[in-house]
Amino acid sequence: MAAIIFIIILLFIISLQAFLPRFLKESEVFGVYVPDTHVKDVRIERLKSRYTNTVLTTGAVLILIFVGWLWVVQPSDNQIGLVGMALQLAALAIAMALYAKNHLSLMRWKKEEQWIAGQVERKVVDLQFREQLKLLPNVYFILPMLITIGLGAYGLSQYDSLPNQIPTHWGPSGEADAFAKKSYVSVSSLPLITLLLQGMMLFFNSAMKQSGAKIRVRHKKRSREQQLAFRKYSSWLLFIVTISMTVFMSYLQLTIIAPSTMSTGVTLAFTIGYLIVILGSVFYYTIKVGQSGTMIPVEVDSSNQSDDAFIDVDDDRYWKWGLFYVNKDDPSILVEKRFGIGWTVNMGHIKSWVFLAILIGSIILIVKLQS
Amino acid sequence: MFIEIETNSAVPIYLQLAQSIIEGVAKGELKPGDSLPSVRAFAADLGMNMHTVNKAYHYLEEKEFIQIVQKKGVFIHENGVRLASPSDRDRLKKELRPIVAEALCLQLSNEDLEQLVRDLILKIKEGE
Repeated sequence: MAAIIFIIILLFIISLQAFLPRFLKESEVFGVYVPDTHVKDVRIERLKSRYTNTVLTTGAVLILIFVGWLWVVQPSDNQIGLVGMALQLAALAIAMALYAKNHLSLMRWKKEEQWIAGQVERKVVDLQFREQLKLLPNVYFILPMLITIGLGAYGLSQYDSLPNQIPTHWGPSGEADAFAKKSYVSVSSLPLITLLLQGMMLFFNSAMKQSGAKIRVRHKKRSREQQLAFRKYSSWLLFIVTISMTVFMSYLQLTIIAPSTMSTGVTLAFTIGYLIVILGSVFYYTIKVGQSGTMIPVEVDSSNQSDDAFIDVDDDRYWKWGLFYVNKDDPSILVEKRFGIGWTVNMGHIKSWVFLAILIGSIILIVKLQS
Repeated sequence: MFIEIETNSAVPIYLQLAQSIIEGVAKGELKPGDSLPSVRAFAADLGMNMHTVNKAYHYLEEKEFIQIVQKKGVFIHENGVRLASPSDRDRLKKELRPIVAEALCLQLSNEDLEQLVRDLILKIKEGE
């Protein structure tokens, strides 16, 4: 069972990494800004296909080695877990190394052949962008938090009648397999973690409202529509994640408060349902929306294409290794990723560091509470 | 309405911002009472410092083209399109003077200058 899960996860990671360049903007390749005059360069296309092929081949080799090892050694679940994790990291490391190589080649071509020199760079702003932006209001994210607070308070009010062992971890079959001694902390740990995650979703939703729109000078209308749609769908994805997380965590909290309602079958159903909803919506988002909404078809008005003399502004200097955005001037906290689907934080702001500190702190907290 | 800023231009960014908004008003794309983005949102869209947008907004406010209402937002001024007051005329004269002087150095005739202004009016109204 564990082996099958690891193989599925490996397949998922490898194919996601391999096909990633296909879901990104043509103007941002391997973390490098490519001006419109060079997006059709055949070398770029070759670079992308070679990346896909290499990640797929090495990934297939990794999986074959894994299967062969399972066959020959017949390892224990513990060993499978360890090797499975190592292989996941190896797959990611291979993809990252290839990314780095391609990133550097592109940077070199761009510099040596002076892709930008002599061209006029223009930044486009749509004055009505915020008026047209349809994100879900923050109250949609605050209400689930109130439910969590209510459940946490309810758990504490039932403190005396709770069993002495509080479950903190559930195995793959839906049965609790790790427990903590009853204390105010262990009784509230699940609602606290949930609250933290919900708070993060709220933070993302409100930061998205303030995030700068990147409108391309040669495709103003199209990129505006795609940006609006990308943000709208991102907001909805956050909401779906928040709601399914709230339902799932509420159920687990209820089983802690009233263990008699606990049935491993129901827990398993909840877990699988939760995973299907999350993975399904992420998958839909990736395929249908794509990075910056590039997968969303927009009817283009070709009458407005007189700006072919200009290119977008080269902002490579704000992207460290094409992965981390550092721009003290830009008030955006959240920005669209360059290599990947979704969002990343602007490391030029203290707020982003606070956010990352809370994120890492909460992961440590979760691990501590579980052990 | 889209506005476009040239990042490597000799014209300061704040002036480019202010001038594009004035052109929007002249063209009729921005009407008195229309709202403009907040300083923060505008700066985020530009990926630039909020000071730049602030400077542009204050420049426009001084010329009575926009109105900044605390906590409510930024709007095109009710008097954004107005009959020029004597002080408006004085200011325009002052701002035009160095340009006319430059044109004289370049030996443009009165007719040349008139034609130039007529062309520009047409271009601004058509939004080129």
